Amino acid sequence: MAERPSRRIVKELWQSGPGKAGLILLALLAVTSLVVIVSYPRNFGTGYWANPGYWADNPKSAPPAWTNALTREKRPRHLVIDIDEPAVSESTGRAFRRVYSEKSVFDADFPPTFVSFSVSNLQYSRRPPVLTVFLIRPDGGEVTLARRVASGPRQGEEVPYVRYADEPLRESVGADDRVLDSLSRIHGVDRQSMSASLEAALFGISTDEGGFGMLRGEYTLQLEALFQDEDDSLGSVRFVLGGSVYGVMGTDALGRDLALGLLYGLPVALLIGVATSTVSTLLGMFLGMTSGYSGGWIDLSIQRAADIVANIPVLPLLIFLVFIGGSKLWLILLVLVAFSWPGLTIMVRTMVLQLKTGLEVESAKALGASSFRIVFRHILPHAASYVLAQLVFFAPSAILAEAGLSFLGLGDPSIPTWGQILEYGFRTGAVFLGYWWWVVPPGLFIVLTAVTFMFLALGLEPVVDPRLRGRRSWHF
Amino acid sequence: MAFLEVRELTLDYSTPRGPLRAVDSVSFSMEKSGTGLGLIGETGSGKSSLVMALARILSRNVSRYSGEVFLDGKEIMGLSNDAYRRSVRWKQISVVFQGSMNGFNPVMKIGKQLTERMLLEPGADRNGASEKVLGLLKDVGLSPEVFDRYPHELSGGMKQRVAIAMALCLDPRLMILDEPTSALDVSVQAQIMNLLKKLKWELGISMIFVTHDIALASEISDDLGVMYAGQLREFGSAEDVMLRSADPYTRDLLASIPRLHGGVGPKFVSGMAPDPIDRPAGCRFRERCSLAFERCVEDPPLRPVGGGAVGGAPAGSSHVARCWLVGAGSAS
Amino acid sequence: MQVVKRLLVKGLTMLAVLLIVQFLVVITLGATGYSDRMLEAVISEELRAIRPSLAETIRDPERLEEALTARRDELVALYGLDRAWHTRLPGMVFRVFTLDLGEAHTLRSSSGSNRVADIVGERIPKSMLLLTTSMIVTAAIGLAIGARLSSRAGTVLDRVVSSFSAVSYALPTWWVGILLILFFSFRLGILPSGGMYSAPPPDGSFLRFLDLLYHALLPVFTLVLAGIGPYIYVVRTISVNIAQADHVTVARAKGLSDSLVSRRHILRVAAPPIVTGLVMGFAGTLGGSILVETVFNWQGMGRLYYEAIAGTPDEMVIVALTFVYTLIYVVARMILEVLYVLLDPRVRYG
Repeated sequence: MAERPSRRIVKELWQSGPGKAGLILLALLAVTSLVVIVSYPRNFGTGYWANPGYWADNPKSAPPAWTNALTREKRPRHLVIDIDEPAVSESTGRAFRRVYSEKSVFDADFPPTFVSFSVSNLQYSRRPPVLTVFLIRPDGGEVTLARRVASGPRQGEEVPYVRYADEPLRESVGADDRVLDSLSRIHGVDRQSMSASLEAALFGISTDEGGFGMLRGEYTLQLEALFQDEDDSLGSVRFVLGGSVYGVMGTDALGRDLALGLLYGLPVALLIGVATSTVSTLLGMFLGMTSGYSGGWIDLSIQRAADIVANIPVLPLLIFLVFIGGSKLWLILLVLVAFSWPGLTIMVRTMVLQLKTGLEVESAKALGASSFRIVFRHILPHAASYVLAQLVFFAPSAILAEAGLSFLGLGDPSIPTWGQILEYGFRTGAVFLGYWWWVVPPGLFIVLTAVTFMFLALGLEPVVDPRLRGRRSWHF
Repeated sequence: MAFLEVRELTLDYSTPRGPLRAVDSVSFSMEKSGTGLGLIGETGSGKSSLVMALARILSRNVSRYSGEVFLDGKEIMGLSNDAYRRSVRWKQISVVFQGSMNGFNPVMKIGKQLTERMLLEPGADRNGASEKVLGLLKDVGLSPEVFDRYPHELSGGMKQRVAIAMALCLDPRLMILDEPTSALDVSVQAQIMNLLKKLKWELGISMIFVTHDIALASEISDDLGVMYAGQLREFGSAEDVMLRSADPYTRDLLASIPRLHGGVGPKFVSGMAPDPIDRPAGCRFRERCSLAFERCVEDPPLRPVGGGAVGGAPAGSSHVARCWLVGAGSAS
Repeated sequence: MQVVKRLLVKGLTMLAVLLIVQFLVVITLGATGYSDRMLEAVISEELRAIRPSLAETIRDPERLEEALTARRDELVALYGLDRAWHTRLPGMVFRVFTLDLGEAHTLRSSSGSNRVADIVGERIPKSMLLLTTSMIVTAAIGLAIGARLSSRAGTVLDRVVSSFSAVSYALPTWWVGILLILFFSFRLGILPSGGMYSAPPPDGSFLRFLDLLYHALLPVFTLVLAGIGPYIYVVRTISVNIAQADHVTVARAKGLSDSLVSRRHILRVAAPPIVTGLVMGFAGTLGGSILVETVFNWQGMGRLYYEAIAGTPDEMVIVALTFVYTLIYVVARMILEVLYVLLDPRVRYG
């Protein structure tokens, strides 16, 4: 027999423009998916993506960092400073003072969108430590951002008392009295005008018009911890100066890094496409072969069923079933498969009918092969190309269907998909606010994945129809 | 003035392997109108291409189309496509195609397809055209009901008759028939041949009849031309070519016709026609010819049979053949 | 006659489709307990309604409760709640067919009615407007371009347009809509970002109509953009195939002009398979319109899906919508089938 059909198909695919493009893209997507599967935590969906606390320090609805290069004005970078060791550690006689400090040069045209600090792993044995957070400006002005005292020992708690071990203490600097007092002393302006634009006041100089201009230069962020005992300690301190831009693909309204979410969607999309089309192809082949070979009322009923199912409009029914049955991915895939088998069934049935009287089958029968074996071994190679074409052709529509469902709000919330990212964006008005980095990439990813399969299908055209082999209808 | 004169008609197709010369500088003439010319030859000899070239029905991959054609003394090859379409197509030259089974628009009634071209003529009116068509249907032996039928309701033979009627609708000077009966069964074939003979006799219409079936050609042809590898090998009256063939290929061809009586079995011509893209130099039949000799490495022109001038002479009502053995000092 | 038989078979198949979808919907509702809950709610509603009037005639609170309980039992028996859900199937199917599905939880029609039939009913014409307009525009442009392309098969223009067709099959329609809003509404500010009318809508019916057209521009454009790609390709491919048919050679040999050949002998012959192509694309257009209405806040049935899912889920509205959409699909299919029969005489005789 000629070379194995799989090698032949791949070779043929490589010949044509679209086929080659499709194979390259598929390889790219597959490799990326593997990397994602390996490097992402298993519960990414429920544990991370659905957990707003994880993204609390990220700027909200921020465009990607590289857009800074395109605008004349420089937007503030997102700055995360982690400090483990104190810069100063001394005894003041009555207490032990440790200062965690970091300098940073700030040269953007806009102030940070927020300032926050986190403290974790606080330990003390007698009196809880006092924490004070300072911002020291380039002009020497010092602003007290916050003062906190850890909670006292609880009943039944044993020494040493541990605070903020499981969850760090995280606070965003707000316009409270302490901050406003410091600021009004520095600027000489009343507190009202500053509470409206706190960050502008923190990082700027008051101007004649009543606003604030940017004060560029070296800023120092400090956390002073006053401990009673020398053994009392602090694990780590984190400062965050909220940027206006973030990451490779920006963030959504919850501050989630869109790059992470979009990448996660890739293996999901491939899974949806491949799983649905594989199962539907197997189902279609099985039914087609059964129908064609058995004949009689089995054939008739399968044909009628195929006719009816092929004529049912999928989306309305899909919406209803997922709505009632619950937004679970397996249910969505099940319904998609349930509606997709008729096409291939009819095609396979036709092939089986043609081949049923063919010489190969006759001779196989003469040699005493069982019916199933005949059907399987002899008809399968002929049908292989058609089946492959169907597989490849159906995958994009499954991906698009799931995306549409997600967009309507019926997506599986435990498994983030591109459609869900778009849904959240649409629901929170990202479209009307012009957040292009949020709404354009997910669609592009969908299109890219679907187009990959389409290219493969185009490349398979000549394989499926031998008349076209060598004479392609397509050249790129 | 000859009725039809063809000079150096050449047709090339472009193929991935290079140009294919399907019709190689063919020249011939039909002296009188109202006669039938049969063109015979094997598949790939160029006979179909020749008549398609004659009727300017060119496919997309034609790379060269040259020569001169004089119909009633007027040259038509030089006409623009538009002028050709308006003055020659179907008015002077019409075609009955091979496989008229699919030659009809499946969603249009027969009558409409027949009157369609007529209605394009200035001063035409629907009633007059319909009258004419009904008359034509009668002439080809079909009932007037056919006018309102769709093509899929007719049999193969009926469709072929309609095709003939359609070819006659503007009373053309010349009707070209390209294998009009090859797709039909023998009895229907006979009917169509009788019809054609009748039309030729009653309407005095000139015909060029292309076929690979020599017996069929002989039924209707006054003159016969034999095509091989893009060239005319022999041309003359049907009687001359069939009974006194001078070209070795023609003779072999005629000998390959099985005869019911006579006890002589058919002789097969061994070998195959040369590769049309890469033809060897010299006489194209040389490889398969039992009479080939040294001179045959030079491609012979058409030479008059039975003496006369040496050198090329266009085929006319005289008998010519493309063989060095013909003419002065020929051996019959 | 052949044609009657053919249409009958198609009609029966379509009817089967409608019935099977209905049964599927109703069975799902029953098996998941929704129909039970729904009927409970209906009964509770009725009891609440008759309580005040009963309270006027029956003073004794104990006897009032007894009367209400008795009434409740009656209603339970009437609605069949005391039986298993599958025995209520035929009644349920009938209710769906007549859109007798009670009241919605939170959604209201523009006239304030909360009856499902009213809410869904008033949205139908708005969806139909979008659907028919985009289908007509798609068909018209698709035919024009596809036909023109078929005579230029294999040229650069052909390949470019064919590539675009392939890519447009992969485009999510609704995402294209989002992109268009982003560009034309947000960036350029020349087209509205949604809704059917401006707020407040202009006075006078002519101005209102223009306002409607203005708002319909982007949604229709989106639907056309997404659907036209595959359609052009189908028209082109079918035309190319037919252009190579024998009868076209004959027509040219007869001396007919190129435009005549193109119209009568290529396009007209391609019409039946092109209609089939329209049929195949229609389900996609239907699905696409649901999502496009959502994106553009077009107050049609598709948008109603979104609102019914997002709000306190209004499952009866969704049931009604599923039914109406299936019905629209079935009717449209039958229309196209009749069109096909009219266009192709081969199925009429012989």
